[in-house]
Amino acid sequence: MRVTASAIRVQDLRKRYPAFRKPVDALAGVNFDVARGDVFGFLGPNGAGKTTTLRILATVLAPTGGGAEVDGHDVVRDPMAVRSVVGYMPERSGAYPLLTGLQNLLYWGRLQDVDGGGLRERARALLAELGLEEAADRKAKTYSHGMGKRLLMAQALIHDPPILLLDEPAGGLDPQGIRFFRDLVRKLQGEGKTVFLSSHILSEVEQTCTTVGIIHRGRMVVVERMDALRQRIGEGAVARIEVECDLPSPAVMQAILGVPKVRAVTPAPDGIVVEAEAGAEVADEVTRVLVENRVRIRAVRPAQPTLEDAFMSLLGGGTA
Amino acid sequence: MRGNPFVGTARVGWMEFRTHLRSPRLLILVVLFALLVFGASYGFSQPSGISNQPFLVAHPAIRNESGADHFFAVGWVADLRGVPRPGVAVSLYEFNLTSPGYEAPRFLQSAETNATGFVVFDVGTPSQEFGYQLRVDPIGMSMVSFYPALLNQTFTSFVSSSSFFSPFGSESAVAVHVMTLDGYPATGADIYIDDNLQGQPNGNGFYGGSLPPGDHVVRISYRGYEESYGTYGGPSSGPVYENGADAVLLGIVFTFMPLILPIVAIAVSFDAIARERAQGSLELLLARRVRREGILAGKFLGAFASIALPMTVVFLGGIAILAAVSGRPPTPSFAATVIVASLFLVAVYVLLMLILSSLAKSVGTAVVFGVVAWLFFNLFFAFVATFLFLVAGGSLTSPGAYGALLTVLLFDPNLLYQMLVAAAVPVTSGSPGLGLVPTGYLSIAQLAVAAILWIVVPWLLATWIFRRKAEG
Repeated sequence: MRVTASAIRVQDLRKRYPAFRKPVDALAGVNFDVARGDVFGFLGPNGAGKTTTLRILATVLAPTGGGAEVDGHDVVRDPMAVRSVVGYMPERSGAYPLLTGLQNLLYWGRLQDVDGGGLRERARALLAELGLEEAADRKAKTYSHGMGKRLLMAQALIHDPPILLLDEPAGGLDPQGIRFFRDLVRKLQGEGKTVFLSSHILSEVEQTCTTVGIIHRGRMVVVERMDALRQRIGEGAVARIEVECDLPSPAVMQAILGVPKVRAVTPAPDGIVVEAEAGAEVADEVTRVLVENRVRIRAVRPAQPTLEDAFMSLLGGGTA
Repeated sequence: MRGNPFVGTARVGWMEFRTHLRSPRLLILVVLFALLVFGASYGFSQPSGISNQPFLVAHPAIRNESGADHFFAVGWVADLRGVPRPGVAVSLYEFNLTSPGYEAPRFLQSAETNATGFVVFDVGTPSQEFGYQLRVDPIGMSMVSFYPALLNQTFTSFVSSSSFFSPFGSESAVAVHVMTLDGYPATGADIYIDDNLQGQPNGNGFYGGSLPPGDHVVRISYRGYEESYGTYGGPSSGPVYENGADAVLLGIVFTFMPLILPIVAIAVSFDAIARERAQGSLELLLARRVRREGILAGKFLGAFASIALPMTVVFLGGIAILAAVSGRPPTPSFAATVIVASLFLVAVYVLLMLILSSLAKSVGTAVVFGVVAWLFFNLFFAFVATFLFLVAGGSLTSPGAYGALLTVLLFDPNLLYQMLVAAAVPVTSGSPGLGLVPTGYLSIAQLAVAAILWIVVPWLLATWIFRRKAEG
């Protein structure tokens, strides 16, 4: 097996869906690399091309231009090699409703050339790990949405692939289910697997991903390490401080506004929020003003710029 | 890590096969199919045609009892194979031979035939002016007259030849009934056809045999007296009844197989791809280590096998039934051809449905496509082809034009199926019968090429469309 630096390399990837009058360009030249062992969060509004990219990487769809390599194998020239190193979890459930969870898993495993002898044990172990132990021998049509998602995850893992392509793994799940998948992704990362996941849930990506790519209208808007992105957003966005305190008098508010670079002071339920110019460090000065005016302070928190902020500012807002 | 592509195909195929075997859909279809085949095998195998057409013959008989002549009218009711019909009511009528105008015969008496099919009426001392008539409704009537020359004869006889045509075949047969003048079966009479001795009548005075096509003379000779009859045999494909099993198989193929086989194939495979697409498993399948062709081949083999297996069992059951009922199994090669050709038709429709199912965006659309395919080949194609042929000035009676039309009809798999079966009809006595091939319109090679193309072209089309539709 060839060793390449990138687990996934996408270059000028294009996909045009034929249509009767107006062909749709789902991907208009997408470029990014995913390093080995990385957890890559693939973000974008609906219809941006997330699922199309994932399906091309999973060799389900053929691109109409450009190329993509997974583990060094070209998705067009050597799809069989790609399929053996990739575990693909589509967004929609794909189980055979009349088969049990275990039967579904055995079928997908056999189609992936998993050794017949160890397959059953591995399938049972996976179902147990994903919390489907008791449902293993029930027909898949009786599964809830969350159980269907777990079964989909199991089929992606059945052949122990080094690279996982997950399309909205936590989509439509309750907070418990979301937490389950977050923990699972961290565990997979711990095992050294490369995880490429698309999501709408920004906080999820923020908490689990090491790298983020944002796609919009078939083009990558940004591909960056999570921390670097956060910093960059921080540089561009307003600095905010949340102060938990007794509500100051209007005179004190005026005094805070007098601090250099402070732009606004607004009352909040349990204190005030101070906004300052981008990159400004005003926390110490604001605290000094409050203390001097004998306002009791319970906590001072510089608010981190969120991925949502980044998303909104990069997409021009309102499209997510 | 190169997977054997056949392994994936086998697994997809096994999955498809198992899914169908567990579905009530296939069970219902197979039960329906079995009822049709078993019912037809039983029903069509009943003796029919000339074999059980009853007839009535009447003979005058003169017996010398206690020094005086007694006159009788002897009737015999049997079918054309000489099987007597006991318990049939026969009526004796008298009519005036010398009357200048028509005079309705006068009913005298009625009696039922005995166990050997005979009935005997004592007519006392007949007048020269009166003749007698025996009647069986609705079979017919037969005349009895007593004339002076009768006393010079040693026997009276009756010869009938009949031709029977049906979609299952044709045959001509001759039936001879010979009675001595004193009214007993003339078992010692010699029966000739064209001076070739055929044999003697049985214990009931009956002789029956097949009649080759053409003009013949039937001659009966007994104790120095002879009678001859000219007769004619029509075209024959051999005794229909004795080839009954083949005829029944052919009948089944020509009546409802082109209707029911596609229905079974369509109903099983219409959603082979559309169902996977609808439930989302197609996407998972496409991401597995199986080639696109391998998936499609697995789908085809699984669906085909799930139909072929029960269908072959039903066919063999039908053949067993018709062998038991008609007393003779069909010609093995012909029966095998019928089964193989039927499986061929199923395979063609499964392939067509793979194409349509790949095109269909939903299961509902796939159903509509299936119905349209069925209607197209069962109603539309042959009608339109023949209509256009006639509009274009083609004549069905011109051999060249008719052959051209048949070639066009090869583009309809249902008609090709019937032609394949017809080409394999056993020809028993040198007559073309139903065999299309001996008539020279189409050759075996043409039929074989058409059959191969009907598998290869839909397969290539199916893989191309499946790939296009699956990969966007």
